[in-house]
Amino acid sequence: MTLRLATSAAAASDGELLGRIGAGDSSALGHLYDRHAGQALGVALRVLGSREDAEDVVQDVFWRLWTGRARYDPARGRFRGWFNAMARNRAIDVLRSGARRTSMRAEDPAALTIEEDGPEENAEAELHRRRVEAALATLPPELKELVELAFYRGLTHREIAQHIGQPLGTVKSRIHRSLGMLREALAPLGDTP
Amino acid sequence: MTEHLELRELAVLHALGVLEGEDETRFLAHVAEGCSECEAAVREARTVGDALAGAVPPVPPSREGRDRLLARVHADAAGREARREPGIPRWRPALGLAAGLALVALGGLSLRLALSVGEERERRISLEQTLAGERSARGEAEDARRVAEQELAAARDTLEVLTGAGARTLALAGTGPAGGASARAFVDPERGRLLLYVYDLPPAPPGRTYQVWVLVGDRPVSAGVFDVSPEGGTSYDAQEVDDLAPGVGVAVTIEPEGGVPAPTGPMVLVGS
Repeated sequence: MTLRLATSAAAASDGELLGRIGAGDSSALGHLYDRHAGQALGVALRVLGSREDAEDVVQDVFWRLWTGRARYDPARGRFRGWFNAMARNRAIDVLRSGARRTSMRAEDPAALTIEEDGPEENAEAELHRRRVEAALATLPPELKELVELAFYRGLTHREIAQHIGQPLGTVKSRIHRSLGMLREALAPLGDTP
Repeated sequence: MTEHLELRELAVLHALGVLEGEDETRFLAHVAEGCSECEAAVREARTVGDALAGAVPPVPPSREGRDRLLARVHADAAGREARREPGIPRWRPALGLAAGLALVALGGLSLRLALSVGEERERRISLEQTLAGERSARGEAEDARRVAEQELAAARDTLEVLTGAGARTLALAGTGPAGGASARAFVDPERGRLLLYVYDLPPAPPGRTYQVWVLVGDRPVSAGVFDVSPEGGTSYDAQEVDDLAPGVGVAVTIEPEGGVPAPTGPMVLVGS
């Protein structure tokens, strides 16, 4: 019976687990953590550059989910995407508030990618990663840098303009163009609706 | 460049959370007017953002982090259960007194407050009847009884905050684009609870949410985020709110999804 329950929980959809979390089932949060914490930590680490601070962000987003302070709306797309975006947004909040416990911030976030024997990534996630990398590779270097600064570094549009020494209007139109190009590159592959 | 083309650019920046200052205020005001084209632009840009986030290689979280979180969650779940259980045999006389005091106090409160208390009382009576009926019926389903008890306990909790001796009531008025909105907050410093009943507040723009702040002096302390129904109403229950004191003010701002550590967006409701 116990084994069957455990199997059932592991196989439950994100929506089912969220329903159980809403009803106060703490074990359901553990299952959701095992499923999504790794990706959320990767995102937070990419933004913050500090494992300690990134783990704090992951703890915070799961706690918000548990207490109902963050609520997922299925109409907004898949839970995974929403949750990763929330981890990224919270990491940027920490970055901007200066509340990091660790002041270290590597110059090249890509160098922070940690290759270690963690949970096995499924083929779908790996395929998605390659598609996004291929889409990013279609961008001219100056646009790719803008995406890096805006999405992964959490700089505001004014900070980006200062950082690259370009007028604010140029930054706005280039970020808009970058996202448009990425969307077009990803759409035929089914990575965006 | 036309103004609307520029707003489409701002929509993308807004979706990425990099918009700030005057541009952000202008864009939010534009979306609040109901521009479906810009809302669609935000949604499209957000899907690209989700794809970018999903492309970051995962990193195995530490075992200690998992254990720490789940210990906190399990303790919270146990606490919620404990708060429910001891109340069942004792609440009836206490509730009668509280309800009586509430009736006396109601004279000075608004119609909406009266409705709030009345609705909670009706809900309690209805649940009480449900519970009594279920208890007396033979062969009743145990699950249904447990759910009714839990709902009754939740209704009792709410009523205690509304009528508690230590509770304070605040009227919140809408500001700026939400000038037609209003809200009433019930602050219970003893329990660290804050109940908020919101009326006529338009749904937050895409990618944004409403965040509640307790104003301790000049220092805002977050009491969580909430969304409203399409009709603009909601009731929000914040628990374990830090620094809740009898003299605090309460405000609501528009913030990025998930909330922020300190207010950054426009204020839509305020009361003290």
